[in-house]
Amino acid sequence: MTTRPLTAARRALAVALASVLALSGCATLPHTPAAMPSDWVPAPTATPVTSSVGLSPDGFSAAQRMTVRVRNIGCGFVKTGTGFALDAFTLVTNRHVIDDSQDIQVSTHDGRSIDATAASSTTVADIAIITTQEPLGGAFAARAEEDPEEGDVITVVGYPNGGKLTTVSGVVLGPVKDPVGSAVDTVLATTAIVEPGSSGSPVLNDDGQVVGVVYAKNPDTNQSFIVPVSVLNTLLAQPALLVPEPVDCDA
Amino acid sequence: MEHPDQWDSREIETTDSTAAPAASSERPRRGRRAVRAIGWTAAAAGVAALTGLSGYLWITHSQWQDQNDELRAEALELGDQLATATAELEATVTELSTTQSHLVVAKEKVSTLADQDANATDDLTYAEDMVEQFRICADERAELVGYLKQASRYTASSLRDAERSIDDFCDDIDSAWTEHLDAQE
Repeated sequence: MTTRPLTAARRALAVALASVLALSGCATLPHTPAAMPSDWVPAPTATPVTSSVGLSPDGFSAAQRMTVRVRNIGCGFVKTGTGFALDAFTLVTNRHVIDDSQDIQVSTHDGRSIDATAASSTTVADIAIITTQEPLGGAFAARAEEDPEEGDVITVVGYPNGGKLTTVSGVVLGPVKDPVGSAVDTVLATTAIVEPGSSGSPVLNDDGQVVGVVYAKNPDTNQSFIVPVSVLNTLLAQPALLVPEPVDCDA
Repeated sequence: MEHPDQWDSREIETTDSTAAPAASSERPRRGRRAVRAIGWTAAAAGVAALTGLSGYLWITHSQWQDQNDELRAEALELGDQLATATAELEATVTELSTTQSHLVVAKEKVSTLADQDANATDDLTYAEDMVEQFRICADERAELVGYLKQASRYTASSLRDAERSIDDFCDDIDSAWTEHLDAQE
């Protein structure tokens, strides 16, 4: 007859034990939610990738904008060549482009016509410098410090046959003796295909720097020949090597 | 030396044999009562704790539910914004592509017009020079006619040389002009 109270006591203890066990679960109780953030759009952690193509004011590249068409109005003839701007009033072309000129005119890539005020050339290379009174506008050439090497890829921008502005590519073949005897130093042969009218075209490397000036071609092999930029740099550093070019038929 | 309890029990055994079981059952009953009280107290505490826990869980659940509603609304709004931004981006990319196409066409047009203008200027310049050369040719011939009118003042050979020289000059101009016209065709 003593088992009933004991059973009740055990039951109470079991309830207490169950309560303790239930409360032990409080260790893993869910937390209340944290406060809501005020701004859901985080600051960007990466800079948007910009296009590698440089911005242009008119869709033409810097090389195209600095390249001009040279018109030599001679004594009984009109011939054309190419040149490129060194600055707003100075451009480089070939000596044979401005030979026997009575008047020299320059046309920009967008059709503007500008009169040349003076021209000077040198006997050490087929290079001439033309100055203008009106600004050429557009872009200006950045000259490389060193000549291109054999195998280097080059780009030539010019007006072949006095036609539309054209861009062609090629590879430097290496130094050769001047095939037309107009330079005292060696010149560079390339595979870039040029035409009459391309004379004076800037030759550019992958970085868009001028590494030479087109001045001749071999129609049999389609090789073109360029005056290396080192010669151009030397000429520009020593103005005494440049003499004024006569602009008079009588001369 | 005997313990009083031992003495009392012996006395109870000897003087009143019926009172002894009642006294001995009183102590277990008191113990059981205490155990029961402890049990019920613990159970009451457990129930109270569970009640508190339930309240806490209810509040927490309610807060999570509220925040979930806010987050859902915020996500929907951000989704709308993202959809709008994506549509605008696609429209901008399409517009940019169209503009680039137009720019290529415009650039080609500018090059073509610049080329036509430059070549027209070449032709005009050359034609002006030819006109000047033909004018010189005509002046020279007019001068030769003047010489021929006064032929007696000059030797025949000098007149022939002058005529031949002027003819050569004019022929050269004529040939150059013809060559130029042929090149245009």
